[in-house]
Amino acid sequence: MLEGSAWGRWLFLGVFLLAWQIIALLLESEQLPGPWEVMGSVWYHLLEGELLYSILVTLRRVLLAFTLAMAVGVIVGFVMGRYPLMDTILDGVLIMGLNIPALVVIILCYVWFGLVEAAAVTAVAVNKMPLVAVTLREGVRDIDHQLLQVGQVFRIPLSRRLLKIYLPQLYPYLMTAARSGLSLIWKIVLVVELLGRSDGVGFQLGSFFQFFDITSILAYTLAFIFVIYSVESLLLRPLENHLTRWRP
Amino acid sequence: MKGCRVRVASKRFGDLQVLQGLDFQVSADNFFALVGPSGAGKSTLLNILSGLDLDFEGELSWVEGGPGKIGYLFQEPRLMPWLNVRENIELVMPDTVKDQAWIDHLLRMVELSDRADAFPRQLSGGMQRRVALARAMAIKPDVLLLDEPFASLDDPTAVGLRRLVLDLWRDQPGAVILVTHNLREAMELADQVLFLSRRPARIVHREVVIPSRIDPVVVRDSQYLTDCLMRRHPDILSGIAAVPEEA
Repeated sequence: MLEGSAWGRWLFLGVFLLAWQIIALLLESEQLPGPWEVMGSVWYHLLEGELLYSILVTLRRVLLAFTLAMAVGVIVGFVMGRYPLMDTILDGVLIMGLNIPALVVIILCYVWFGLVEAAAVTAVAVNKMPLVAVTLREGVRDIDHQLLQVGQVFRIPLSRRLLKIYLPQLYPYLMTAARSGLSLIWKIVLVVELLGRSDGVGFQLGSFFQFFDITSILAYTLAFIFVIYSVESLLLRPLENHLTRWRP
Repeated sequence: MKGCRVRVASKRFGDLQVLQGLDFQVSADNFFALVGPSGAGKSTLLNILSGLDLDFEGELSWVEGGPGKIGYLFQEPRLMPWLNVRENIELVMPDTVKDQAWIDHLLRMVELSDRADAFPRQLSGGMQRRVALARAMAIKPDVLLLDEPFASLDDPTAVGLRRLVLDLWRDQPGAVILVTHNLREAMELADQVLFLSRRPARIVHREVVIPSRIDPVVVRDSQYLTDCLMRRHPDILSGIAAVPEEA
């Protein structure tokens, strides 16, 4: 009965909050405030503090980095999947890109371009690009040539061929790239903010850390999780359902 | 309607010669069947005719200027699973808005008017083939290529689809080239049957079933025609004609 329904998620959430409250009450420690206290803090930061502003600033960076990484990654992945020569040439770069620590990229970007917005966004985007490229390369390799021949024989115009025959075969790969990419970006963008920006969620968390303000840190985390769930359920899942509606 | 002169001097895959010295005329409104042993290169020939394969010695010369429109019914339906029935047909049409009435007509012909919004995976194999046939006819092709379209179908479905091909052809005349290994099917549908030899394939025999199509509705005794042919050329299905003939 619980399978696949929203009830399963809510049930989990309820149990989790209850457990959290009980442990917090038992420990009575400043380092683990209970959910009530944290909710109060969320409310406070929302009304008095910079919670909303910080989240918007971070979201803007996420969006920019995401767009940049998807655009470049899709093009690189397409070229590598389509042309074996390019695959051979770029494969070394790709493996390096996949495995280089995020922190190194972030530090280098700040050193080379200065502590500016563009450096922050680039650093995040560069971390995600290889992942997108690898996924898209698989997608392009999996293209069904029998369907492409239909376009060729019936002399379907190129734009329509791309839109109706080529692209739909890549949708699953684009969705995977978007999903895994987004989760990576959430994680890295805060580090980038912590290291070289004076606003955004990452910067705020850094400040709270200096004052050991655990309640505020958890409050920000909670708000952030809420945003991520919203993006998933309002944007990604409906989009995915729409794109795969032809599957029985 | 346009006709086409097909000349394939040679077609090879690496060292393997597949086609040799094919030369025949596809005249408009003619129903051809190509029959030959499996692996003889029938599909290769269709790929050349459809323009998918340009790597051969020879040429296709169209009788009235420019290349004609080709409708191709592949062995598998090859529908786009993410497009519904109507969108699959619209995909090949030059002007999707203007041609809605034509699409409606085709859907009625293939008896799928009520499934226009269905996606291919919601349809049976026979239905998918009917959609593919409607798609091939949608562009009003000068030449319709059929690559063993009735193989892997159960008998009643195959019979229905054969009748449908004839109906559509009568509705929208043009040349048809049917590739099959089923001799009876060829004798039932075609005006002329071209028999191919084993690899490298050439034409070993041309059987004219009916010289001109006065009344295509006449039901033929395809079994009788097949038996007569088999008496004259017992080994024809292995690609060997009894009396050597000029192709």
